[in-house]
Amino acid sequence: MQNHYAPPGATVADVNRASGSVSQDMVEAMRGTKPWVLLIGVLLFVFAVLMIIATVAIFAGGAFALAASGMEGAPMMAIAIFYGLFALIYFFLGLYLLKYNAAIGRLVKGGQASDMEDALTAQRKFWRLSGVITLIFIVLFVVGILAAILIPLLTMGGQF
Amino acid sequence: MQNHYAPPRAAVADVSKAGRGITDTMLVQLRATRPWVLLVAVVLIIFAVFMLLGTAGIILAGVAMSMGGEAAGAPMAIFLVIGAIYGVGAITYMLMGIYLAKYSSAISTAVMTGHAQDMTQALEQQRKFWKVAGIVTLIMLLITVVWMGVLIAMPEMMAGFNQMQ
Repeated sequence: MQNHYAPPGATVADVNRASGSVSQDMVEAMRGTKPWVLLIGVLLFVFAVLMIIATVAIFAGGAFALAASGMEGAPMMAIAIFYGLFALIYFFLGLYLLKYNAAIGRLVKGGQASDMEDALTAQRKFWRLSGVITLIFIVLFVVGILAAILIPLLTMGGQF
Repeated sequence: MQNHYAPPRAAVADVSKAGRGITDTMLVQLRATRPWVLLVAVVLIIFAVFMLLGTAGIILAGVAMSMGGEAAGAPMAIFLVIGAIYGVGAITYMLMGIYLAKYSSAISTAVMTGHAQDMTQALEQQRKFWKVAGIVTLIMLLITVVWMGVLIAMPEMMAGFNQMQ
């Protein structure tokens, strides 16, 4: 039964999940992006797989050296952990780009706003991860430079 | 004069900005993307400037050494080749940084106005960035494959050369 006393409701498409279509110009811009994103996404995945293989090999070598001669295997284990971290980073960067590529594919086929939203979400995640990694590297770079300046100075100071 | 029979209006903030194919979610996602894009753009441009300085330094060192008579012929050419590689790298970084900075700026405009035209402009800038990044990746892949081929073929070529002597 219809409620005649209900407040008026607005059918606002953009409050909920989008159901409209996006302009042809936007779809064309995204279509031009797709092949390059796919190429870099696939390459990142290949790099991730190669680095995982290297991680396993270095880890096995380190474990073997650790068992055979004690602490000499420790640096190899540290390198393996570093490689593993990079493999994870490459994997997630590749994953976000492939999700971006898949959403663009759906957008090009259907032209739906919801696919554009998915594409922009995947793209945001890619850029956020890239930005965080960039920030970490900047911090490591600054710490490295400071260490390169301060450690010799402190060592020389200790000699006096 | 006020129309007492006008339909009620909802003051929904996101209706005013989004529209014509742009949803509020799109603008929110773009707004959240912007600072990271800007950060990477600034880092790329700084890298490019450092690489340009490196290029100038390498070429000047090569010229200074050749003028001093210490390096002539092949060594001077090596300096020039390394300088040229650095220069190409610097231009690539600069281009990618500029496209990302333009993308970041276009996102700001699109988020502010909510116009489909501004959104298209932003997407166009990111397309240009990905195109340059893809072409650079393809070139690097090609160089890697050629370099691996050279590394594999080099010992056999050297062995053949030695046999001829």
